[in-house]
Amino acid sequence: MMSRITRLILICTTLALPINALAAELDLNTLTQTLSTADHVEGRFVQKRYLHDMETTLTSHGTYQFDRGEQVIWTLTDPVQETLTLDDDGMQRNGTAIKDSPAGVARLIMQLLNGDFAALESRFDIALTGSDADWQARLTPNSDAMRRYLKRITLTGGDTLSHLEMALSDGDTLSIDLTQTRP
Amino acid sequence: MTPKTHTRLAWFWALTLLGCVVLAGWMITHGVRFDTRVTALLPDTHQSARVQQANAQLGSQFQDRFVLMVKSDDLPGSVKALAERLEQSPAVERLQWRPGDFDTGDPVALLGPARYRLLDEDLRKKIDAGDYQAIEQRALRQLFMPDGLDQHPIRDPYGLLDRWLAGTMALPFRTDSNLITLTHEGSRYAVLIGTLEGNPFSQSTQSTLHQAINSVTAAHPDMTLLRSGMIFHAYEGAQQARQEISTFGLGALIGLLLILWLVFRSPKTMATLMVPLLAGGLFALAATLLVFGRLHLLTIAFGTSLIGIAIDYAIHMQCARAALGQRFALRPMLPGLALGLFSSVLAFAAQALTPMPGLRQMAFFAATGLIGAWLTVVLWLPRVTLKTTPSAAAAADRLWSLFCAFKGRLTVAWALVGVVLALSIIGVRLHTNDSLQLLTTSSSPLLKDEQQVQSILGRDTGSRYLLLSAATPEQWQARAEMLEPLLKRLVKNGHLGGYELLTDHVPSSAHQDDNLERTRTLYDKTLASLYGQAGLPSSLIQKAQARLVNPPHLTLEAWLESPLGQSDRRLWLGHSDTEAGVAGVIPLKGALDDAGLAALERAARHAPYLSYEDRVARIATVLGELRRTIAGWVGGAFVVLAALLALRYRRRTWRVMAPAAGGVLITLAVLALAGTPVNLFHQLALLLVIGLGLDAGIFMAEHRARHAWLAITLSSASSLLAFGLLAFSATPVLHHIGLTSLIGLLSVWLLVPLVQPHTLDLPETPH
Repeated sequence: MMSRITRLILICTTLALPINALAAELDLNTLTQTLSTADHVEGRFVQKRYLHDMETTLTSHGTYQFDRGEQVIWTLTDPVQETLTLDDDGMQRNGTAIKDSPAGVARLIMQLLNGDFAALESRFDIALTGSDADWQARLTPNSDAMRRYLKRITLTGGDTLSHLEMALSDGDTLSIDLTQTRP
Repeated sequence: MTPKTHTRLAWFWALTLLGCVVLAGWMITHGVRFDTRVTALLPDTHQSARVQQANAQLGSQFQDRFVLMVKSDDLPGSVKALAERLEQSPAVERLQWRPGDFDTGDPVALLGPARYRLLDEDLRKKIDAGDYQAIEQRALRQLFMPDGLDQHPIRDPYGLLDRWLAGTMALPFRTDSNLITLTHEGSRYAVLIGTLEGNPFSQSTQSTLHQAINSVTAAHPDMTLLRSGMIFHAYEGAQQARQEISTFGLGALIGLLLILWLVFRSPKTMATLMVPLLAGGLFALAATLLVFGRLHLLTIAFGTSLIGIAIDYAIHMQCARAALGQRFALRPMLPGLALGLFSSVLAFAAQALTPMPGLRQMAFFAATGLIGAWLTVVLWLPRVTLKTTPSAAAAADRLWSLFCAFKGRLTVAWALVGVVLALSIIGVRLHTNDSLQLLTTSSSPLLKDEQQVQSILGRDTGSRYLLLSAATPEQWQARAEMLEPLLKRLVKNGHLGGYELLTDHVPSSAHQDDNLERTRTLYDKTLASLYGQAGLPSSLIQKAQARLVNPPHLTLEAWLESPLGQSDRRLWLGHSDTEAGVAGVIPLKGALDDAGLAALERAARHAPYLSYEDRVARIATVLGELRRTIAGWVGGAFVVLAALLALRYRRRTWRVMAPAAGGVLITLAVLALAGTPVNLFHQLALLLVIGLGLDAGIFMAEHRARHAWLAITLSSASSLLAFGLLAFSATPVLHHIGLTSLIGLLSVWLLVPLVQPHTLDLPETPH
């Protein structure tokens, strides 16, 4: 079951961040290879949570940092302060460890940091389309437990990942626009 | 008895046995129950149905499932290989090793409606302390960046559901590489949980699983496994016992055949010695099944002591025939044989009067088996022609000179001195120990594995628990919550490792109502400010608050029926057919020291609805009670028997009783001197010693013939080979039986000549 939406976002972000170096042939192997050569990346994001039944959008801003294989730092700066960190020791919120979800939620992010695509593929059907300059990845959950909450994740980008969108089963969406500032 | 009557009776006996074959065969193929529970030996009043139900429910996790923790350089590869092999194995019904293998159902549907009544301890304390700021800040963050289930501004602005799940059901696992892993002392382990297809005590299930695991570990040498589960212990125990029984068994068989060959020189005669054993076993099996409808496996184990006695009749009969040849007649044999049977059956039948159902069955089995063997000896053996061999007579003569060397050396006075000496040694030094640990056969690596897995995973064998009953589920929950402070204190002060409380997952409705009040307070104090900060219209506040008007309770029933609550089902006994009200258990984990135990027992004394149960200790109690009961009744039977035999033997009675009584006393005195605590299995072997000793005393008194001494020697030798050799076994139960038989049977054999009158001289056996 996938309950920690944040984690999914982080996962997807890390998945997509190094895609700028993607080769012309777009497949998961190249993606895995690219992941393992990626380095330090950072930038800003705008995150919009659309609540379907309230017809309301909650917008927030922040920054991200990614050191491959080591750490992901996801910082909300406005309107509320929060830093989520993910590394080998697990996930922390503002420096305090978050217990893993009771229902057996994966720290999927670790799979990605380790370039473990086989594991990601076991939970999602992944479809890659487009070219390395303009690509799109659609991740569809393949288990009923996850489908109960999550319809699909879409990642789009060119040289870098530019947009991430999660469509939840209840009609809500979470979309994130990323702007890379370094390197 | 005319020859004609004898023929008729022999035929009748054959028909009876045929009937036994049909009956036993039919009952076994039509699902007769084989009982392995030691507690089934207890009188019904000793153990409530509740305790039995709790034991079965709590034990099944350990009995029917196994856990493997895998460590390897290539964890995904090794685990995959192992899992695939296990999934193919017919011994494994189900294997859970990937996150997807655990069905958690839909927590939102299950807990969502009641979430306003479910507050974890941290949140409760914060609200009670009026510490709203941290709660509000976290809620605000989650509105913008939800990190849990169903964190919605109206449905759950404070992420109550997520807090509840994280607070009450957090697990130590991680699910990287699509495995279930955890890190312990710097090592990363993958966890596999298997459910067995069959019984953990079934030999085929054991070996199939063993082979499956072994083939994978052989192919992946870098893989280390930690094993937990009854099946691994059962396998090791059975393996050792089987190996030893086959080693000793083969040795004993060869030795036995050799001795019998030396005396009888005829395969046919040797075969006739075995027929009564088979017939007796068959008769006992059919009769026990018919009377009791089921069979306890301990009964069969116990039945082995019968075998040694049953062969006695056949040996006496055939020795007499071989030695006397043409002069043999059945009639003079009958009083001795009948008294031998009578004395042994009396010793066993005494136990049939005890209040223990299991013991009754054992005694019945042994008594009917002896009767069956005896009838076979008397009705069939004389009809089989027997070649008179000079070797039998020669052996009888040679043994006789040995007899004469010992004859009469023990006078009444010295015998009394011996008895007093033995009794005082026994009185001062003999200890008993009924602990199950004495019987464990698991190797120390396996025990270490087991301990490690249990402590890492918080798994328990379900052997120690509190049994709590109440009139209604609601009352049960309230009582469980009343116990919680005590349990918490014991854990905090290090008296108890941990506990599993159902109300941690389903609080009582009173508790849930309190929580709802707290939630209302939280909403009243902070929701407006939260919405304001998030930029949400305040018109929505009412909508959110409307959800608190009358939300449903989370019921025990709904929880236990859900996939998420599945693992809690073992804690709930519910209603029972025999007792009013409901009951549930609170398993205790880890160490429980004396202070902790005393506190729990004190609590149980003050609350009639609460009891402390320790399955392992209870089994030890059962074994101890069984041991004491058998001792008492056999002792009583011995006295009665002495009185009855005195009617026939008068002043010679002590000579008849001495081998059996002396054998028992010497064995116990030796065990006492060696500092070996006596348990039930020593005592079961003593029954064999008594049976053979009585037979020996009676036959010697009845026949005063060299063939009687030959028969006593042969029968002692065969039982010594069959049981005495087991003294060298490493399997505790076999060792205890063997050691007792070894000392006891040797003593019996030596005592027979020692107590005969000095003047006794027997005619030479005619050649």
